[in-house]
Amino acid sequence: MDKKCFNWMRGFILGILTILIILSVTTFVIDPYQYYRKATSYEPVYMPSSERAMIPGLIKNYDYDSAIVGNSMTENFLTPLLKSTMNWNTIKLTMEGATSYELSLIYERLFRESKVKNVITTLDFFTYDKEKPQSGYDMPKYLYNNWHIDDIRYLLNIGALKQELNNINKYKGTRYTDIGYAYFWGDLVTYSKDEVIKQFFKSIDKKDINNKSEFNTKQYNTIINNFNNHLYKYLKDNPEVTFTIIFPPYSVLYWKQLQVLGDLEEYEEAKQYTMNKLLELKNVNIYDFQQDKNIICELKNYRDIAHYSHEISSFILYSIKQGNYKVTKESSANSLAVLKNIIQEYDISELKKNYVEK
Amino acid sequence: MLFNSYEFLLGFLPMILILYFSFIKFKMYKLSKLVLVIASIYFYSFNNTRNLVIILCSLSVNYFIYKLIISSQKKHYIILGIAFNILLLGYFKYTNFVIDNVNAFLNTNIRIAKIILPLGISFFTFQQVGFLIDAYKDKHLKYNILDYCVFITFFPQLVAGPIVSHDEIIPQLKNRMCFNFENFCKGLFIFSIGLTKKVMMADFLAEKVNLGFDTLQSLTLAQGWITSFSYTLQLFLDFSGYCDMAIGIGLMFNIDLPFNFLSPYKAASIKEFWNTWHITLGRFLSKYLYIPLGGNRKGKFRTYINLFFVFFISGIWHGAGWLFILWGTLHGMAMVFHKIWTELGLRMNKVVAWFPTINFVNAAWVFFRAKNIKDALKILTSMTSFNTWFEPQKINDFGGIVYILVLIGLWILVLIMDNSKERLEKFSFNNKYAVIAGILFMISVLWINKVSEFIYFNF
Repeated sequence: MDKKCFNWMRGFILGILTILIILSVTTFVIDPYQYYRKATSYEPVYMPSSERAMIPGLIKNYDYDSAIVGNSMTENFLTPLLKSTMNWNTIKLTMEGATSYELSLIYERLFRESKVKNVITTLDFFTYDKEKPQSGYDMPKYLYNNWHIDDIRYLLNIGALKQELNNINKYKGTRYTDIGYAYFWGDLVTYSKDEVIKQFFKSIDKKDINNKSEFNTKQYNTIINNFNNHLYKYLKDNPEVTFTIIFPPYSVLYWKQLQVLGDLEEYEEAKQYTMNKLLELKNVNIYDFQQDKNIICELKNYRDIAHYSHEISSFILYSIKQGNYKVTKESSANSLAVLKNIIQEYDISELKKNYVEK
Repeated sequence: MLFNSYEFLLGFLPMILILYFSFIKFKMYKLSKLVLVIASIYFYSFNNTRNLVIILCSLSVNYFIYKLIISSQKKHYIILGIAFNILLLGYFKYTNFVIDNVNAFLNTNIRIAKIILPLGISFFTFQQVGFLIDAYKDKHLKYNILDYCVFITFFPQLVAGPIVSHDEIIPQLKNRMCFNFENFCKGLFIFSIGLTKKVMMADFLAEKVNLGFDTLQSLTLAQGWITSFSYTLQLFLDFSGYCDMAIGIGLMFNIDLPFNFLSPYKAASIKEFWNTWHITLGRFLSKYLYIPLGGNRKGKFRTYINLFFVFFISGIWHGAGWLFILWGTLHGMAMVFHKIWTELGLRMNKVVAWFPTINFVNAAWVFFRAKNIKDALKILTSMTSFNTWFEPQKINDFGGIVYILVLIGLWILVLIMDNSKERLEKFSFNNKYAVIAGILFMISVLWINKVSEFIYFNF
């Protein structure tokens, strides 16, 4: 009986191996995340849902001298624009809803390749204030490390293969196959002052507008630690790479929200600390768009209290080219004071009267 | 923990099998049972430690009452036992429902927090009630606490059945069988079939079922039929897939669990359907409700009432909601109708009789699945709205002709293929089947990218 059982088990294992081999060979050949090689036999699709999985392959297999690294604040930065303005040959490495830890994984992988000369990124404290390393998104860490054995998880990911094949088929010939427009969502959403205001009041619902909570040292320390471990470290360790660090123009209501929730002081302190630290580095250029009232108070250019339109994204890149908004050691104090002033002066009770109570 | 998860398949199950059979090998029988009990309780409370408290409480109180019953056989102890279990089940399952209805009918405004139903409480509560009644009838029923705990908590059947009787499980524990390669192969075979049914088929259908029942506001004729027949199939594949997996794991431990499904959708009458659908629940209700009520021994009319009552209770057991009660009522009425029909000596060709049976079952499942009466009526009215019969573009929402062909293909498989019991009886160590089972097993395992719960966990 045992012999029969052994034979049966052998058949069962043969079945298992058949599937493992067929699937891994298929995934290897199609390589939907371009992890092994640049796709040539089909047009790859760049959808936000596969950003995290696509990044290691883009880093390894594409030619570039510059990289956009960041979260949704950078998703609307267009690489062709960087080519025409700065003559950078850029690759876009962005992750929707990224945590700073996830961004650090990109930096680790990127600097292992030593191709990049310029990195452009935004410094968003909501990316750096998380204590947990992972975001809620599915992050295929096994594609980022140096260890090849665990790549089997990619080769056997039948769900990913199916989804990518669907996408490749569905979006053939559309904009989503244009790497210059990778993960671009700028013209797919609506920008509305009403929506932004509505969202703002919802987010501060029932909070006392004049409430002033204690300085949250724990939160401040988290931001600073994450900044040091997930960004500053890479700036310092790669002096041959030029970093363009942007303080992006969230709407004024983002700052007002922090104020109402009692977090503003920590964020202002964090901005001062990080800015001063960045200014010490020769390979870092800082651009601060948060002090421009004309941008941040113009709520019609926003999708929500933080996300600005793709036109503002392009404006940011043009401005960098022209050297506008650049922060120097001399101008930094003023840059912080201007923002503080805008926040203090902006009156939300007026807004409430006009939009919510109307 | 779920059978269709990596932690179960790659960690929990192999580890417990190795531990269990190692202790048996070294003749440490008590430890082998203890491993099963601890593993089962861990399995049960894996995602929620609150469950741990509930099951330990239920186990200890029931065992204590069982001890009281066999020591004195007094009636009030069995009443206490049944009352405890009904109250426990009632509190977790029906409190919110009762309060909502009191508020609606009496215009009151009683507010309590939503009580979350502990996993599988209906199943292990029924099992313990049955056991207490058996102990009351037979004072020689003497089991130690370890055997009792294995019987109630044995993890393959703990959360969604099959509802087993003590005399099916405890004698098997006494066999103290070492690892049996033949049983292991059979177990793996039947487990693979179950896993395929759940992961590849039921979860695939679920997407369209959710679309039809929950997302779309109105459906065309074709969409209505696709939705209802998708759900009818999904429920069967989901629940019978779970049971196949349970039976398969049981076999790996050399424990035979009873079959819960014997091709119910091939049934040519509603009676046959209930003899082949969720068999262990039917068996339980028959033994502990229908027969004590008098069964068919108290005249025709009383038989009809008893029959109806059993299905009415079955509806309530399935969930706290008027739609479940309606579903139970419909089946109760159908059973009574069928009884009268056969008593009148009326007969119908098997193939002809299959048609109204499956359609009745299908329509009744709509009430079972719908979240509210509006959704149920949306599906049922669409199934008769003939003016919408030809709107081909609407079918595309459901994956178009490809999905329809897959759905029909799955239905044909269910209607012509042997059920798991027949497959197991005919099991031969055929290499071809071994390879197919291996292929199905592996595809299903790889398909688990989003672990989904079994429908019957909620009952």
